[in-house]
Amino acid sequence: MSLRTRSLLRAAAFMALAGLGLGGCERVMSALDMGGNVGRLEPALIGPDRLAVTIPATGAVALLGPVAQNGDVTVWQTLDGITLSMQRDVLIGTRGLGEDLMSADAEGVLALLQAGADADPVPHFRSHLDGEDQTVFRSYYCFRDAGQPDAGLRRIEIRCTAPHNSFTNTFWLDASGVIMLSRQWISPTQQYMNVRHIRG
Amino acid sequence: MRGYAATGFGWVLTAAVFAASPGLSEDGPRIDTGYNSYGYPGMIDMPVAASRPDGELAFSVSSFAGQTRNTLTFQLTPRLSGSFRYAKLENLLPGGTKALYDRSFSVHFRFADETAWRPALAVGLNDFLGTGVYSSEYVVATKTIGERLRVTGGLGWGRLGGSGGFTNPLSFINDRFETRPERDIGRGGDVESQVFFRGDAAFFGGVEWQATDKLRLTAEYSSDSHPDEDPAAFERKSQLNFGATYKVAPMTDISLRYLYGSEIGVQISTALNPKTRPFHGGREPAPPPVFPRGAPSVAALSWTGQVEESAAYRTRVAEALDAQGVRLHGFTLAADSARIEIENLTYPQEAQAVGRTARVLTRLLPPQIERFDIALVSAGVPVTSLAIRRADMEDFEHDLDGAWKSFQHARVTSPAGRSTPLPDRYPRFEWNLKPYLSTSLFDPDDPIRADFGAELRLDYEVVPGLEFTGAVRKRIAGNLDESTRPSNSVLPRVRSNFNLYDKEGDPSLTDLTAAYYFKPGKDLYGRVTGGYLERMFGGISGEVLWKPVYSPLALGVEVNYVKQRDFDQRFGFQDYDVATGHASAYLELGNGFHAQVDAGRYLAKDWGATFALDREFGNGWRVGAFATFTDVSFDDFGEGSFDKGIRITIPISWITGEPTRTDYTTTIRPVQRDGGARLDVGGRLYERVRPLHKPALERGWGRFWR
Repeated sequence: MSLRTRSLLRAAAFMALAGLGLGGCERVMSALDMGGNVGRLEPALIGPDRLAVTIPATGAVALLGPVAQNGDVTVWQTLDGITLSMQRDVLIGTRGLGEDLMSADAEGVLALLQAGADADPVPHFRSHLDGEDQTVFRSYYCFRDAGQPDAGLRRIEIRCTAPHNSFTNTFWLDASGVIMLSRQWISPTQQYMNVRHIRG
Repeated sequence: MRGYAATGFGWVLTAAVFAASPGLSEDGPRIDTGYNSYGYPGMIDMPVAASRPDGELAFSVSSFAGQTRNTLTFQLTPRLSGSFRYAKLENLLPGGTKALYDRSFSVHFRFADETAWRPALAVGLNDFLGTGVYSSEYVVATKTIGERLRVTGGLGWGRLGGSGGFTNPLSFINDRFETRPERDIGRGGDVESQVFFRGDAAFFGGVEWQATDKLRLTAEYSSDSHPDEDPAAFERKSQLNFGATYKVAPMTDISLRYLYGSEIGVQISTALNPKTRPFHGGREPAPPPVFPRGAPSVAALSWTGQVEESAAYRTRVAEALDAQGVRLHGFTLAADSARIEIENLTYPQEAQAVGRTARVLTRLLPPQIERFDIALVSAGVPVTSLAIRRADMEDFEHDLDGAWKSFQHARVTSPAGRSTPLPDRYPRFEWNLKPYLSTSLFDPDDPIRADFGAELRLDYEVVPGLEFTGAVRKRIAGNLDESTRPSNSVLPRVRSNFNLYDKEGDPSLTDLTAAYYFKPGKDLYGRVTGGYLERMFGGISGEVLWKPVYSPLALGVEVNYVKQRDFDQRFGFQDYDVATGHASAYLELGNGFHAQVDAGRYLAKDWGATFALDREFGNGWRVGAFATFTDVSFDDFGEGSFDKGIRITIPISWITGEPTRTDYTTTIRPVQRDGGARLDVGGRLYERVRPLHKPALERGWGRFWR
């Protein structure tokens, strides 16, 4: 349950390169006042559901529980201080992953999932922070395929394209249109995450 | 850009989606621009009319025929780069065995971009301050042909007008361009503008071929006649140079050259770009989610105004903020608002501390609290107050444009009056033990010296604003004390005896002061500091700064009376004393550029002004330069003629990805003399206040929701 392990390893490697690889990296860093003074919040769960998430690009595997609900957005948290914000199971934000998705609009994608196969494309916006902490928006147009049955669920692909990048999110819906499984794009370094919503 | 989001945002982006032709950047030229042997954008010895990516900071080392050039180059703007070079020339003087160490500056400015028909054009000056060994100017044009070939031609003056030189075409304008006056090498440092573009001119040129994505082959015709080098140093058989450059890492090149028909040259160039963070947004854990009122599990007990209840809230808020790396300084609950004073101990961007504080407050305060007044406190003084509506936290947490909307809705003001600290906030005693590294550069006997050791720092805050601090250093290893060059300064030796301080001061008391920080009025900040202010001077220092919370302009006055400390850096003083002080103006120019002018009296009792320009990146990197001109004559000043240097600040958070306010700053002076030397007192107000004010908060607001 550690989405952070890889990034910690990378940090350790980087510190070693920087000539600070003295062993016990975290301790050295906190002694040098170099960080480590932000605590990871203990997740205080507000419901029985869980998300089983894997991020293949970093090898991360985690189980997340709901810790906050704001309108139809649920914030899910790991034990080691990473949160995913999902609007009815469509990802609209991550925190604690490094290259995080700062925000996204899910309305169009949600409408597309409920619409027919010949639905018009919808605009989709996402934001992230650049290296100077400035908010950068990216805009996409998203198209859906016809969908097909897959293991008792309906599998729908939504392809979102922009001039310089594109991604394809895949959703598996049950008969009532609820997202059960998904594969969703996060960011260039994290790439896709696979999500299974375990309803408790 | 963010401003579009509220209204015309969709239109702008929609237009962009359909208008932009896909893959534009992939179809463009693929020729990398390298650094030449002088470390500025060029081929082998000659320049090109191209630039490196904006913000890039590069270091290159080149060597050929007994000359080693170490160059630091900063791409200050997309068009303008500046270089500082430290070269060792083994064979400069005829018959001599003494090596010359030469420091020089260069600027390279690309004033026209390449179009379908016109080449890119650039102009440059080399060694316009130093002793003039590399003194030259050029105008250069570069045209790309196809995807992998680039042709460059140009006209050089000075050193670049030596081989194949002809009468200066500028003499058409004025006859005086025909001859290049001899430079008064004497002290160096004089801006030698009267020689620029004068004397014979010569053509140079070359071809670069990007053979593969990693390999670039170059052939050039050099116009450099090496006028100052001993002809015996190397045999110049030809003006043609050939080179191969291989990219061994994304930002690192290695070059091998065959130069002037007789010599082999090598170069390594490596670069980083402060705009690119190794850890992207950073590795800090996720912030606590907002708890909307009415949602399950909110602390729903209502607040009845009881003092005991307030204390209970205060304790819980203090604990929750502490876990976020924020210290609660003051806490007052009113009927429908809460005033929270915080000290940001952790985040490079104050906006992130504010955001995390507001998130914590939504989780802990009773539901009738509608507004959070969050005051940012520095040294016990409330600097900025942000009024944030609780409903905005609930509404914008997951909003696509939540960062901009929450900033627009936050009211940023300068708080009146004093802080109202918690009963257990003062007094507070802290200490820490850290390693330190102290360097000395460019001594011809040993160009890099350094000491490494331990520093114990004590900090005692008695009441809001009153601090006693001190630090002791003990060297563990190093060679700063090996310097044997006595000062030859004719001025009061206020700085040039630095090696005596290095030699005798171990262990040393680097500083021991009492400081009082206060806010004498709206938009005014004050400081009085007394004691051992810095390692060479002690005394008393007072400062007043005027800086409105929204303003890009600040004005300040500082007055000091100081006495020179003993070389052993204990408690004794020498005889020299001086009243010194400056009036300062600070201005944010936009796009991260900051200008500062300090005019007044310096430590050696000289009068003058310091001009500084820094580029600050959004993540805290700073690269800047400064120069001081005083009434000390260039001859009396000595080597270098006037005080100048470059300074670089590297935030540790950029390197580690961890949230921390620690940074590393280094100032590189070609030479440290006594003229134009300023007192180095700690706690100056501008850099304490500015990060907490509105322009800086706005720039960092993207982290509000992190």
